[in-house]
Amino acid sequence: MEDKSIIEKVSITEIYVPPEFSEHLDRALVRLAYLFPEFQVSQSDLDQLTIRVRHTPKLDTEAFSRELHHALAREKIRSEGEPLRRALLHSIFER
Amino acid sequence: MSIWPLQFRWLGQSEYLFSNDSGAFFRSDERFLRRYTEERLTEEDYQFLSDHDFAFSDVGDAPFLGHAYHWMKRLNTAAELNYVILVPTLRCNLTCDYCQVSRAAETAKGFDWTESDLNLVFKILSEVKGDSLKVEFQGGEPLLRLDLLQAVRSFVRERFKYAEFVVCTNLQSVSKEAWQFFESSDTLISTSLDGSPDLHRKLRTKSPDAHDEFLSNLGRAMAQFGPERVSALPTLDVNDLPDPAEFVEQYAELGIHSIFLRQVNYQGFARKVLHQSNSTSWYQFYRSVVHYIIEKNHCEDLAMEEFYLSHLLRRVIRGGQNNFVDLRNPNWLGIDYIVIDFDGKIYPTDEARMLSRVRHIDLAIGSLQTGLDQQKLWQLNQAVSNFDDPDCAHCVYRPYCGLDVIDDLSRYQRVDLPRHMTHHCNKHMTLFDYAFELLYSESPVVRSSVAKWLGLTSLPDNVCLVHK
Repeated sequence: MEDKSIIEKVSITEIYVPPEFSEHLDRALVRLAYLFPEFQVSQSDLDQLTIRVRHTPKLDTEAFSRELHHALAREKIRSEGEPLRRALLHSIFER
Repeated sequence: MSIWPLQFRWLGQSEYLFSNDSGAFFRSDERFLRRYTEERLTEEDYQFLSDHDFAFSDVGDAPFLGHAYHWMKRLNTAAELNYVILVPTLRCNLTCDYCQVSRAAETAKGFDWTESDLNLVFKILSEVKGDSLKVEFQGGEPLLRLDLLQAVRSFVRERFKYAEFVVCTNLQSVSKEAWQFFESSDTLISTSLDGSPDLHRKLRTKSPDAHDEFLSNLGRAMAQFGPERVSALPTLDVNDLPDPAEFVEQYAELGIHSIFLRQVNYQGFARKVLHQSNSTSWYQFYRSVVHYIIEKNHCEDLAMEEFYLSHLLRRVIRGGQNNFVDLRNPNWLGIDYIVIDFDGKIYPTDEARMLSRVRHIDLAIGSLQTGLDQQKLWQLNQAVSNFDDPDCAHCVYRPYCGLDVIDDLSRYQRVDLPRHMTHHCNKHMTLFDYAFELLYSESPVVRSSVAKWLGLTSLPDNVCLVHK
């Protein structure tokens, strides 16, 4: 039997994710999971441009939204910077 | 044009700090972050990034090689052994409240190197490939075995072209022979001076007579050898901090211009006696001390510093600065420096020795009798680099920072916690935030001190870039 007292406390916040960041969303959410243990996102909550974040009232949604966008930016920079970092290491260590 | 990947940190409101892997940095705003990550950089953005080591056109072109040079300069390459901490005795003539290495009583037996141990130390040192060696004598109180110090120094001077010796002593009881030992210009004194006289007496010297004897010896050492060869480090209990102004003035009066603010180390026996630190009051104290130093430098035209903050600033601005072994990247263990304990066991760091002493974890990497345990060394060195740490990888301070495996093991019994949950990370985020706050300060009084700490006559405007 479901514990309604818990379900009633769950809020949902929708956050827009720009399309150029969508491929980095999974990694960003994994990293945010330990910063904000109060939130959950399931696969069905993911639309193309919006994620629905289920969370307790304790979650600071403004801070979470900012951190999500920072995490997305960091994952995108990290991912797209990999070839440059490889080129740097290659030029130093493999010549 | 390719832009080297940028790490960033939100500074509040719309302000951000950016850095790249070579340590170049600038402040900008959220609009730039959006343009950068959404691939909408303007001509002005490209021009700025191109002008300041953030971009290149072709692999191998001058900007690429410049970036590679600065990146390499920050790398702590694994060097040959060139620094040894030697513990000829664990015996000590003080009973400090927060002794970190479990001293033995002054009259105890079996806590000194034997003749055989000394010869094995010579054997290890004779196998060092380089021509320079720094030797730090730790204890216990190393002056209790001045004969061993003399023997090691003679051997090292004979064997190495360049040698330096540091005696870490409590300066409690210094014999005529010990003063003669200190007279050589290659020999330095490192002692402890804990905040106010009251604190030092309470925690270390205990009796008024013993305290007066220490102060007399410290005064003589300063007068005879000067601050270039004598350092006095505080160890502070965060629950009993001195007045910041009185604290700084005590060092200034002794002619000591570099103060290394250190909390009681949460390792060794200190943790049994003292409670965990309150970081808020510690950093309030820290900032008060630095602020007082800055004002004092301005009013009296001095160049006093808090050592660690200056060190961090030098790592930010100059790169390199890998001689301070607690903060390097990668922070290789048991490669370029080792600790040889009183019982012949070898450790990668002095903190590792403390952990083993209290039976927290055995971090011995070998012994005089058996040599180095390469398997254990290999294991310890698996997590000493911040390049691929999943948290550090995104951190704006990564080029200037490093990991501390021993501290993580000490506090958490593991090395893979998310970084923001570790003391080491929180400490360095706080201190680097402060360092950059000072670097970007518009106050001429602050800028003057920062320049002195960096060894500059003034802080050039183009060091701390801003791009909007």
